[in-house]
Amino acid sequence: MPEGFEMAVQLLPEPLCAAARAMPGYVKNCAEEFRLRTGTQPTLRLPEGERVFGSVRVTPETLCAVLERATNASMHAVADELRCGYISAPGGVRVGVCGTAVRENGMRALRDISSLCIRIPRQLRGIGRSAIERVKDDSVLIVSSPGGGKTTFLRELIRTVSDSGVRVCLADERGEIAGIYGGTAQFDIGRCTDVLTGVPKAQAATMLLRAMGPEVVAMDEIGTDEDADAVESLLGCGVRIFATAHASADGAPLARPVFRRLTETGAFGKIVRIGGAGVRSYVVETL
Amino acid sequence: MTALTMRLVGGGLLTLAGALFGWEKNAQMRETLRCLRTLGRALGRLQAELTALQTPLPQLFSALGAECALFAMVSARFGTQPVETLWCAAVKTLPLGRNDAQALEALGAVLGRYDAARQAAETALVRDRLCVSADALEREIQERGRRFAGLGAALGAMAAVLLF
Repeated sequence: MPEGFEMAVQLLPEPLCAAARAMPGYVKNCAEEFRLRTGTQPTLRLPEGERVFGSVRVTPETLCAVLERATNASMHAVADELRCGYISAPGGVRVGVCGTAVRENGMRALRDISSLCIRIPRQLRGIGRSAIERVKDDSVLIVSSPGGGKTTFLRELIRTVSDSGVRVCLADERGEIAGIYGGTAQFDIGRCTDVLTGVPKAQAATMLLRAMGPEVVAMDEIGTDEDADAVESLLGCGVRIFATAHASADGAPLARPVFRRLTETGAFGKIVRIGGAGVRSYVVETL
Repeated sequence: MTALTMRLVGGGLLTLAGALFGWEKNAQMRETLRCLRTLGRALGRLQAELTALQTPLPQLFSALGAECALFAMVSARFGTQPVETLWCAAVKTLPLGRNDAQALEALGAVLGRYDAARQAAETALVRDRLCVSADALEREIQERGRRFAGLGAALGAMAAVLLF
């Protein structure tokens, strides 16, 4: 059984756990997420769509059991993550949380959890090798549609560059890339990588630049003016930038104002467009 | 041994049994009081840590286990079953009255599942309840503790007299 699949399965209570383990091997190898929605049967997201894997309907108690396992019975200790709509669990597993947002003491909190998305961690060594060879010495923007493999490719790019001896600093705002848990990266991100988790990208970029002497700064899912500020703060400092961004099906992120701004400032020299379901394609373009 | 001697021995044993019954009852009350006071202190610390530090439950229970058996029992089996299940099973082993035990068991459905403020608030409610029970029990022990021992001895003596 793939290691990431097993780590995700461990969050499931019985009988969902047994039902997931009973899935065929080829399903486990390409499974991307467990989806638990109250009142419906649990599903497993595959490249071709969602597939039901348990006969028992999900209840609020099911979601409570998952959250108890994911947080080690300490929801209060992950309040900051929960406000952002996710929880980091052991093994690099991320649990997306949906519920009712309420205001408590001026801060948004989530109550009445209604659905969970357990993302199965996947480290794929060797993917996009030729694309990585073409972009590793430049600042590169990696784009695809949501769930299209940006984070997986970025992780492999970071690992490859870091293992070659380049100092990489990772602004892992949501903890998805390195999967830090208990101070330890759950993914292999290279021997020369330093990770700053949970800090907004603009602030993280400044902190890393001042304290860690990076040759490369990597960040995930840029798309706001604040993110563009973070990227621009690194320009002219002799630092390369690896970043990802969401793109629509026609793969046109550069039309968005924030990316037009970055294009005009010459922040990125290359763009990698990831496409395809199951078997990915990596198309490199020079900007 | 003459019949008189046997009666004297029997009467003495009955008197002693009566007194022991009273002392045992008193000892049980004191044990319950010690348990309530220990729980009160531990719940107070639990409340403070949740509020100030949001300490994860495994670490918190491990630390509290050094001073309170309830937390030690749950900590020893953390992760094997849901916290609520472990908590309720551990509460059942404590020498508490039914109402106090039920209030304590209900806390198991809250710990680790909600934000720190709610857990702390629920913990405070249970702690206050147990402290009230402890205060009442302490007064009862002082007022009636000696009476139980005396009453036990008196019953034993009456039984001895009847035997004669």
